[in-house]
Amino acid sequence: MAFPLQLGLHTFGDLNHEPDGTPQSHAQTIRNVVEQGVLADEVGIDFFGIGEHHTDYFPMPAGDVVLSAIAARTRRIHVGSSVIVLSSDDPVRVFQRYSTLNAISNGRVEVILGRGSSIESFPLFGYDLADYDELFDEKTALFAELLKGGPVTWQGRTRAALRDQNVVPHLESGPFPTWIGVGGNPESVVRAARLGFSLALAIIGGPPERFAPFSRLFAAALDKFGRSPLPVLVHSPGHVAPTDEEARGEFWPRWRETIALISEERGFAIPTEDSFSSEVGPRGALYVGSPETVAQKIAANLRALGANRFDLKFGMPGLTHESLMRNIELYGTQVIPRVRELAA
Amino acid sequence: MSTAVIGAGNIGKTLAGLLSQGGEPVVIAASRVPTDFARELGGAVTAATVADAIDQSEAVVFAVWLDVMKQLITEHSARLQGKVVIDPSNPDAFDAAGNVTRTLPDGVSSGSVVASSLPPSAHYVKAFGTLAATSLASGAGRTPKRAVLFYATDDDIAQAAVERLITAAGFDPVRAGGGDAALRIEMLGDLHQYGGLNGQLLDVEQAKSALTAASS
Repeated sequence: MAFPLQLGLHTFGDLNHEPDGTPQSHAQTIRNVVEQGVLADEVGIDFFGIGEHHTDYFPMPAGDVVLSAIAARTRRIHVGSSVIVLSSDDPVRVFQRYSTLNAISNGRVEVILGRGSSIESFPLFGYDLADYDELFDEKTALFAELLKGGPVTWQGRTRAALRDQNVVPHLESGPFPTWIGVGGNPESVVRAARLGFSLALAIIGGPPERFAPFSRLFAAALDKFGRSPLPVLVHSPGHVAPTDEEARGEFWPRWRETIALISEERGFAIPTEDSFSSEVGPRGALYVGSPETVAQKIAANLRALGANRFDLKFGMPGLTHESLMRNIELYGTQVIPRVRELAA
Repeated sequence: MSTAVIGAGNIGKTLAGLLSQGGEPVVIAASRVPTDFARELGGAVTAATVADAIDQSEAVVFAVWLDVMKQLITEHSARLQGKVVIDPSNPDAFDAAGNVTRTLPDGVSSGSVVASSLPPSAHYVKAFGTLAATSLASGAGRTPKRAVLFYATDDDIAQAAVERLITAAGFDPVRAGGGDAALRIEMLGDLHQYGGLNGQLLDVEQAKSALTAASS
């Protein structure tokens, strides 16, 4: 393997419930995420990412603020976005926030940029979905310019032009790792290669190995643009508990409720018990089970996809903070060492 | 992003069902919005007008007759910019005696006709037309060795997209060649089920030897 094996976690700030089912406040859920990030560092997880969302069940619009609290209490773990919806943000502000976080964390920032699989930020910030492709195309290109450091000159249609603009805070030791999150769009794969960003494959349903052509396209496109190979990351949802039964029992009702909530806006199928069984099985996209089950599946799919990094999207609205803390502990102390063993 | 399947005939319906079972969100469209059919297949398949289906998708499968496809491509040309366009068409019709005949001159593939009518930024691939709809349905997820679907394209973006979709549909993808190989995987071509393959479904090894045997 050309790049070191890495295993991380992502959260969308999924709203926590009390053990009796009472929803916790947005504020408490956010404080819980800080504790989860600190624990992730303690148990040896490589990366803790927060994905931008703007809903009651994912109350997480300002992940960078939460990450700075985590960065201040940790020493080793990398922190970053998973993803930030660059299309409905200002690349200059995104760069400034994450460059500030990079300063606070002593160079531990990684940014995953998204085009907007969840689109609630577009109306919120006054962007038109009709400009979906153009927004992402221009803004990723500007972000690549900003990462080079030094004065930026840029002109486009989606924000004011920049002329020899000094953008602060300056990077201390070169650009931080930046990824482009890709759901199903092969043009985004080529865009990542063209701009020199790494590839983050979001696989949330169906057989993961069908995305292997995307890794191959990425490698071929990097080669065509005269760039060196870059890492490939896989993001998928899941939940780890001591046994398969416990993990499925905790996750399934929350998964069904959440997917039902978002199915209308994003065209997902509402899961049935059958479809859930197939998704948690060896050919599905959910990593729900005991540490051994989850580790086997991660190792197999990293191999099939030619990827060196796996980031588990943990949590689901309605799960308790305690259940998520146990998930993180098992992931760090049992799943990760087992995946390393299987990959060796 | 979804895959749009335009056409709710045999191939369109079968393909929409297989893709959705394989985890792909599908939006199906036809001249009349096929709402009942989408409901039958469950929540992963939604129905829309042709225009909306294309706008919501990164890949578009035109599961319609060649003449209809040409009309739709002209009508929706601007919408197809940057999209992966998947063409299962075959230049065939039945003559008065019930025999299959080609509707294009010998040596002209329906792929070449379709590809030349697309906007330059579209990513064209010939696929999903190499088996009859019944074989597509029964051959999906075959064990122990998956059956092959051939495709033909010169475009690497289209290649990645179609390999993902063929895998999701329960088949192994094998590239027959660039766009000029379309002729080989259309009806009566040497790599079509109703051409040189004489009704057979191949596995990967068989497909690769058929590919080299016939082209050497």
